[in-house]
Amino acid sequence: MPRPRQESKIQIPPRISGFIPLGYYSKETEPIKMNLEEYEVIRLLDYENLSQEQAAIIMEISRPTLTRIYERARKKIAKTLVESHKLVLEGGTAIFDRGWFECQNCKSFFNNYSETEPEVCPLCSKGNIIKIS
Amino acid sequence: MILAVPIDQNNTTAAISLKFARSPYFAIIYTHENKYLIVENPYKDQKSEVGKNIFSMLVNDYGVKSIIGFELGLNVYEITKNKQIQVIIISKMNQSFTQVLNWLKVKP
Repeated sequence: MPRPRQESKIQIPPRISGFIPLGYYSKETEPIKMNLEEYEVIRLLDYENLSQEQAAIIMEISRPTLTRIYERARKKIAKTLVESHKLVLEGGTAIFDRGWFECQNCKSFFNNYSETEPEVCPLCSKGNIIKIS
Repeated sequence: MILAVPIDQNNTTAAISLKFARSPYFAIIYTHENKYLIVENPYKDQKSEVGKNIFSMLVNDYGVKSIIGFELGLNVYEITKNKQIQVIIISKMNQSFTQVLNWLKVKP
């Protein structure tokens, strides 16, 4: 029986759900699916320029696990770019930092440190909010 | 609520800056008093510890409890967690400061 995968932590949810290639050769085939932990590893290592040790601490996973996720993510990005696929960000075993919400009205994300859950969005004051972590 | 918004110009037609700590200006919005003021970022060209310094200014000098931004660096995000400052991430790039004021129902 395979070992259950570790749940990794991501800090801020991505604001988009994917990317679409432009041009004649862009493919209408099945999109490449990148999960949220793969996105977060790319963000921490290649965007924030952290070391693998630092990123593993932030995501609360072991460094070898992080390395495996990173290799998987880079292969997906390479395939997306070279073969002109769509890229969809979804799924994975990631959890967000606690206390994040999304407003369905103004589409903002916000966190909350108070003991009680917010009833309205702090930006647009509408009550159409969902808890995402 | 007192919020800080990074903006790229010193007026209400400004756009939200893409980077928080090195934004040239910040709008400090006092929602209960229905007013705002725009302050220059004195640390924007500093080589290091920009996030730490700008948060000292925003929190200690202006009493900021929430920030609005499009993109937060890791250092800035860690500072907000340590200081328990609420983070609001807007989803649209180049959103105008006027739109933020409209959402907050503060007169431009």
